[in-house]
Amino acid sequence: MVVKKELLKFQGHNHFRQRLVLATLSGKSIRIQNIRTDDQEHTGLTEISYTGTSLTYHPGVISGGAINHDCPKTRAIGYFLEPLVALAPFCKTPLSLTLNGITNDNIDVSVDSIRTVLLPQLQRFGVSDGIELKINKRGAVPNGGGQVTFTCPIVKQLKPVQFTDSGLIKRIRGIAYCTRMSPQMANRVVESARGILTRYIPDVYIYTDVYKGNESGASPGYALSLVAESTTDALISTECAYQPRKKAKLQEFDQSKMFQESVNPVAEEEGLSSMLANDYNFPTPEDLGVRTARQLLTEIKKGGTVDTISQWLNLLFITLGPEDVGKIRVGALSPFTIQYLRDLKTFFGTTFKLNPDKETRTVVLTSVGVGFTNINKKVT
Amino acid sequence: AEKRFNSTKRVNLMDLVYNTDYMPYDNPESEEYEDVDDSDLFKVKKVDNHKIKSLAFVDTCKVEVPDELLAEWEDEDTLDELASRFFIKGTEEK
Repeated sequence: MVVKKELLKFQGHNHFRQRLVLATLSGKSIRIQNIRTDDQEHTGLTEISYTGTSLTYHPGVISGGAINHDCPKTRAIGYFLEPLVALAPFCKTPLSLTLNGITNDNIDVSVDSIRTVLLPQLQRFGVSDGIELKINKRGAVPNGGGQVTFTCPIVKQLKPVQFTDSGLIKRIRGIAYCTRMSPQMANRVVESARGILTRYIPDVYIYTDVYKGNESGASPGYALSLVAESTTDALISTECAYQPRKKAKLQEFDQSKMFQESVNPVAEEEGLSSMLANDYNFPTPEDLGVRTARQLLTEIKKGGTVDTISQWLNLLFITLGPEDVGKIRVGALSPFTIQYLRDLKTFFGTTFKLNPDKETRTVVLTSVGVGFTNINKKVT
Repeated sequence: AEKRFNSTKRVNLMDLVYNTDYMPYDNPESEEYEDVDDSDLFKVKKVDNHKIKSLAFVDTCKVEVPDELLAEWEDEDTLDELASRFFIKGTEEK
């Protein structure tokens, strides 16, 4: 007898990655239709279906093993690595993944934030021994050339997490990297960021990481990634990267507006300006350092035990966790997280209880896990 | 998510998330956003799957931080208050 599987249907290009991940983990087939059908410049997924505007996906076993992939230059490595961080613990064999491409930009989460913020949070859910993200080479916008290796163990089941005490910030750490530029750029970024952060807390240490030769990728660039750690081990992060400008466009670009508006000529030229969420322009390394530091303070002020970029991962792992209560506190629900909550309900039937705490202006999210088990992991 | 949000009626956050297709958003000054609650937590925006490219096309969990939000850190007067609310004091044990 042929058992007909449930097929979940979605419209549009929104939230593409998360729906593929949730389909894979829930074992449900999905069909996504009308992918950018009304967009003349970026029509559909040209290699997926005949018209390029729909996709049907039937999930199978997540095999894992050694994989090497070249990421396109249109998105940073973080775009591809983020969903894989969620899938890796449930592979058949431990994942050893090498990704090549852009390591830092202002759109996707950088490899630094994945390494210092997302991966430590996996340990709270019981994914710990052998998890590592090694940054072999840096790759800045636009030509990339970076390389990272992600290794992750497999687990049978996740641990329940109840994490609602955000504590007080006890230290701030950071990494300022620099490639194919004077090392002084990284030092200037660090000095300006430190100048702001040490007013609030003395324990601030920002490493400078200067890459040379083969390790420095194909484009010049620098970036700063900051992480604040609280007394309860909450990790709050933020980051900014230098975005280069194209020479041809620079000549037409009104220099007087450069210091007033956050306009990125590269993005404008490619018609992406209206689409970029984080399209910042940094005339000097000091501007980048100051903005990153202030963004971190803003993120800290939001409160919560997990920061904006980690909300989705915590909610997913609470949903996949054992049939026990899981709880986290977030500062403010991001649009990405709101959609994630809706999709978690669609795929797993899980509804989070959302308790706004008006005193601290945070939201406590509570749910019971579905008891997801990795059937490929043998218990010894 | 088919249900439309009625701006004259207050809804709680769970309703907003699970029974509407609106999004809470962080920039309450913009005219695009509607008041749902008297607290800033619930300023919302309806997201059109095809038209709001800044959110939809980019597909990232990073959020835009408006310059106005960052400007408050230039004010030295707020420093002490914020430092005491969110950071441990120098002598306090870690």
